[in-house]
Amino acid sequence: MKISKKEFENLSKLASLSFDSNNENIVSDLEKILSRFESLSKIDTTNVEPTSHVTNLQNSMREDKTKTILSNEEILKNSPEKTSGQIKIPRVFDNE
Amino acid sequence: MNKLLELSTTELSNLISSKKLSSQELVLESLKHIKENDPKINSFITVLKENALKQAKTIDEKLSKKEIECSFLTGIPIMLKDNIATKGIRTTAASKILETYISPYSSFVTEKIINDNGVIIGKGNLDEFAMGSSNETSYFGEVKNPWDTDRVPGGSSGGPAAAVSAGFVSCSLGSDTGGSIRQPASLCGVSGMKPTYGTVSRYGLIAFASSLDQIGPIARTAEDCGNILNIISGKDDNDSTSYEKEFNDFNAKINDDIKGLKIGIPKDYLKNVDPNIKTILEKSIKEFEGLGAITEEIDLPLTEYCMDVYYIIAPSEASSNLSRYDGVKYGFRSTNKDNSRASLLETRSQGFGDEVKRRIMIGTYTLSAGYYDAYYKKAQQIRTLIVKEFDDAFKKFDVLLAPTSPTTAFKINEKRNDPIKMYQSDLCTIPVNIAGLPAISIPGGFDNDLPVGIQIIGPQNGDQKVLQFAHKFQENTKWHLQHPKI
Repeated sequence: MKISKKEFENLSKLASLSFDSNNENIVSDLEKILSRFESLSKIDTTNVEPTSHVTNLQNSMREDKTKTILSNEEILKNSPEKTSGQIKIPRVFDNE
Repeated sequence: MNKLLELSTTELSNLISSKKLSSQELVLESLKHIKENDPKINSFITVLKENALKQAKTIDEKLSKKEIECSFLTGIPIMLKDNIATKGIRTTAASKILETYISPYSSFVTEKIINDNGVIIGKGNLDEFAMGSSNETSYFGEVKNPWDTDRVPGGSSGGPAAAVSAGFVSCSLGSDTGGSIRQPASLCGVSGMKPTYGTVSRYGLIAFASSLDQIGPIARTAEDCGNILNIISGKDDNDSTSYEKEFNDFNAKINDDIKGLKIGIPKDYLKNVDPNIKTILEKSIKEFEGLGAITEEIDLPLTEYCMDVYYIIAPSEASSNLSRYDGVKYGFRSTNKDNSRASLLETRSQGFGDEVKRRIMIGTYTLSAGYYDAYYKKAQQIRTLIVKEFDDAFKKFDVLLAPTSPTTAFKINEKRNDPIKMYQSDLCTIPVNIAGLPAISIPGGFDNDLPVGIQIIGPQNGDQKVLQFAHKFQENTKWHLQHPKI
């Protein structure tokens, strides 16, 4: 299985990761790993329900009550940049 | 090393409750040993020296004034893997992206240990975000195996397993997504248990693959593991997949006879296993037969597909879980201030290591439009078949017995650049996570002076039975009483 340059770029974009131009290793690792998965097509899964978790629990609910867990100050404590009780980030829109 | 540090948690707990040992004496001995010898092993990311001493002093005072009852972990030093949140204490997941993160809250299990007056003595090293089988992907450097410091301790709970093996602590908590408690326990010669999925709340465990992750104990004996599970298990409103067990004592059956009980030996687990490890497994089978258990081989043909199913499900869930690391709310942020997209890309590219990036890329691929049905859904359907295959096996057998790891501890750097070879380290442990089963790895022998673990697997909620077989084995063998010279 081969991953084209275009496919790799799209995948990196979706994953919000950037790789330097020397990305041959990661591409070849991905190709090797994804190729292995082809063996799964040998198993007949017609009419088999997918399993997303194994607990058999259903409708695990709790009362719909609000509770204060952390203060604004505690939540902001780990933010790399903040201003007047809010998180500060670089600008979202370009100057176009 | 002081002989005290070779004792099991259960023995230490008895000494403290009978007032033959104080928490301060024990904590001081632990800290001294850590200071002298952990630089060789690197099992700790953070040592909480001041906190631990202060806490031990308070506990001793309260015990002498009878202000608190002595419970199992009271006064006992314990290490938590550094992907378990501890309020006010750095919690890094061994990643650059969380290098300076001080958790504003504690995990469910951290709270349980504090309520039991356990002494959290430090945070354990691990593979970055628990992704790895050798502890070589940690941003804080690799952990060395106490039996041979040229070798890996296994992973991802390499720190917690190495710390128990080296005698820094008698017990620790790890997390197990595909073998991350059991495989390092095997490679370091200690006991490590992954309970049934849902036994322990995942609240405050830094998420890797949510449908597979489970916290569990690493200690010297199966009995220790059961006693620790008694404290950390239970329903938590903050984790909707946690639930209350129908029993309240994990160790309730450990003294019951195993005469006439049935052990299945899955042949498919032995296909890619070292011949010397097979020999040790065969000796363990004889040991169990000597105790009156009945053993029989069993076919589990879907075993060969488990690794591929796992390497679709786990990276898919990981790629989704790790999308939260954006350098906005907490953690590392790149210095790029051009715009937020550029900042996001640089933050993640500089903050994550190669293995984490590799898994995010696999997961992004398997979840992306056009591939979802062929990969993620297909893997989940095969998961259904794997669960059924185990269900059928447990209609006939009480437990299954298999190797934990296909090899003993391998050399540092031996598999670092070959991800598929590295992934194969977990061949014998992955199926258990896929089906949410309980399993323990306990020492079963030595090969060329390196420990070899055997794995006992039970049906869902058969945790007591797993511990019963493990305890019986340890009552009649001495492998778990061997200690490395460091």
